[in-house]
Amino acid sequence: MRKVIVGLLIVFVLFMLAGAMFGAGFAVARVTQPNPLPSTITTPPVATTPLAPGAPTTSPPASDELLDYALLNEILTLLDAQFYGEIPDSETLTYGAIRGLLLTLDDPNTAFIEPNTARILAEDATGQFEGIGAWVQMRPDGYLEVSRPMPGQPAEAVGVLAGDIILTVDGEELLGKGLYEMLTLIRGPRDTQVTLEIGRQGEVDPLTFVITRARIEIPVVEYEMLDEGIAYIRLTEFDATASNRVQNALTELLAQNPSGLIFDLRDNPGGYLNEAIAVADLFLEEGLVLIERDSSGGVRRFSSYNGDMAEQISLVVLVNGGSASASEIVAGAIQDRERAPLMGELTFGKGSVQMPYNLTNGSQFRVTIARWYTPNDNTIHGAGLTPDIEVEFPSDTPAEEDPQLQQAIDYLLSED
Amino acid sequence: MRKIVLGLLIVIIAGLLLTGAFSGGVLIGHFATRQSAPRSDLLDYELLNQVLTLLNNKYYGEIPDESTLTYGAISGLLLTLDDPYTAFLEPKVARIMREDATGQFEGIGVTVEQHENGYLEIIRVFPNQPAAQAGLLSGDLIISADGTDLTGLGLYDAINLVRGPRDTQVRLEILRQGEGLVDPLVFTITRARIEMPIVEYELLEGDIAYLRLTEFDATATTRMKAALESLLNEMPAGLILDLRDNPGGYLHEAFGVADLFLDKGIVLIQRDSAGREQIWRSTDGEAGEYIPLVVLVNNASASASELVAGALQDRGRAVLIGEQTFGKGSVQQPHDFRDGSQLRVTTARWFTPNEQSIHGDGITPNIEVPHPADALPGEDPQLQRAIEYLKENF
Repeated sequence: MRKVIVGLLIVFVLFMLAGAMFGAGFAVARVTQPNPLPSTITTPPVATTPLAPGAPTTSPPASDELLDYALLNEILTLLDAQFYGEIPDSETLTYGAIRGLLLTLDDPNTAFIEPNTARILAEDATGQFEGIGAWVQMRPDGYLEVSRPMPGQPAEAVGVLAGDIILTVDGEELLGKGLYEMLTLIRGPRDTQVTLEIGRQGEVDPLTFVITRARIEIPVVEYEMLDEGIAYIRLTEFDATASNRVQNALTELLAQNPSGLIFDLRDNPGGYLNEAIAVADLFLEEGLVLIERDSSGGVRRFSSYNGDMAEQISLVVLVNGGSASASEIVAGAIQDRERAPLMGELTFGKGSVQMPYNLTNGSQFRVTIARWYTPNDNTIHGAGLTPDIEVEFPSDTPAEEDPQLQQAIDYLLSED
Repeated sequence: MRKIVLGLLIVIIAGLLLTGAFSGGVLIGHFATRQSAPRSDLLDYELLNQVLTLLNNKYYGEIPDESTLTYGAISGLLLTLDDPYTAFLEPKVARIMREDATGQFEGIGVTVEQHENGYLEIIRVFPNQPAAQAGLLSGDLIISADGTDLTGLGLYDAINLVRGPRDTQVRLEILRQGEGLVDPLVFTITRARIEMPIVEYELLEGDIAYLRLTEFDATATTRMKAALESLLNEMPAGLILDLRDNPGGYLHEAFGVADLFLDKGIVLIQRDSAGREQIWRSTDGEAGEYIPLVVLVNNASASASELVAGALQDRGRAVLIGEQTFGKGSVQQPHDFRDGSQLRVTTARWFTPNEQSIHGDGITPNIEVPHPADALPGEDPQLQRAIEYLKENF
């Protein structure tokens, strides 16, 4: 079965630029490659073979009709002969050309991902990685900052703190490298050691930490019983473990006989389509979850089935502008099927599906291959989902308050 | 109708910097070599093709036509060069810039910018030209041309609709501030051949001549020479050459303008990537070689302007007054392609007679005079300082 991405690459990219939190073990968009390219990749002037199982066998137009190679060659020849300055290597030039041509598509979700980045994303998508266990972000000035060490993991154990700046990794300076290059240096096989030099506020000299890497599970599910006797589950992304972990959380919570359940999809940018269907199925009886339409008019329908544990409990789903893609699939199905009210803010509005293809040199190409529609055949793309009960989250809200969660609790209590 | 080169390239290279000298000689010349075989040493065609094949077979959505994709790929690969001046111009952009660089065009005689609402905003109306005669004013918004709405067209497509052969007519719908939300004004204007007013000059009080050049287009030297001769007939005590906000232009025009003020000697040294050196030398006998001279510069004086200012400063010919200049000391060679597009390649750097590289740093004036942000309209402390300097010293 193929695994397609319904994650939100644009948010992911913006995160990177804005330096928002993001992990030495956390990814927002999805990777694994179930459909590796056959080794018979052809070169430009030749027609190509279909690249994925199930691809149409009718011969596709030769892709050399897509680009004016003569013009491209003239440009390259002129650069080669005349350019004052160093011409980057062919990899860099090619990546630039691919990015440039993809920009003309007007679809930010169709994206080219360089090998370093692809490797990290692929690892993150499994829900596990081998490293030190810290959330990191790249600051605007180019330094890598620890946003938060993951509880109970090696980085925390040796005393790495939030706000620390990682200056060097095994003697190699990080400043000037890209985020994924940095992450590639810090990560490594479990039980190996990595030496970090760390700059810390108030310390004159850099601190040195030797950390033994471990296998880290990325915590995508948080859950608890709230004081009001209401169960709360938060899913932060639809990685490969999402439905299993939500199911485990449900098992534990429902055993305590909660009066209601709050499922929190706020700031969840998406992930795997099959995980979205499986998560939705946990809450839905038999019926339609999603309609997918591809570019050649093909339609696929995804359904839910009876017999899951959370099909009856009183439910509220929390969403906001950071709920995208897979989150919108789940929320849209629950809303259309009238299973539960959505509460919070208008969702992001990404209703397209990407297939990740691994290219020969380790880079990855994510192509938008389809659009999806809610059970009532509404497109989410562009519009987003409007919550049944709109509740804002004012920017000046004190840190310990959550008006949206509070309203969800009040709603479930008043329903009783 | 035109936007100065400065503005044009700003749009093209996405907000990066000024442009400047589009290089050493003639703009044109079809690139002769045509290669049909992929140059696999510079690009990874296999990877490129994998991406294109997947797009072709799988993509949900419309794939742009071949030109659009190719232009995108070219722009993308040029971005990796880390040189904002090596740029690719699509045909519609190249057409306008080529025309502008001649110093003439056929149109209605205004300077425009793209307004935030997508319309063309008239920035300047050239005196005595068709637009002025028809009554267009600066600040007017052109909302349609011959019935085509200009919103969403982009600057160059919009300009191409307003321009056209001389003696043809264009019907413009104009939105004018203060006319409220009533119907737009309609003007039918007969296009003409327009010379761009790049030279302004006048005799200031105290017998000081003032000469301003706003761009080094193909007519710059000729027009500067004419203006200079006309001013020198008045026997001024000194001359102020104003190169502020001049983004550059042709290299040979910069050389020609510098030569007007310099006797025999080096004007500039040009070095290409292979280390080849070309030295440009001025000759004796031009009109402006002896008059006391002040050159006004600011941080928008770029490229060709810096070349002229740098030579005059290094040679001890003039005192520079104003602000640090922009710092663009590279030369671009334009290449035109069959489809009308153009590539400008940075081929060389230039250096002043004393071997200063202008690139990056710019030129520091001999007397720094900032232009205060809160200066009143008509107030010009830099010009004032130049006048004082000439009065005190000559």
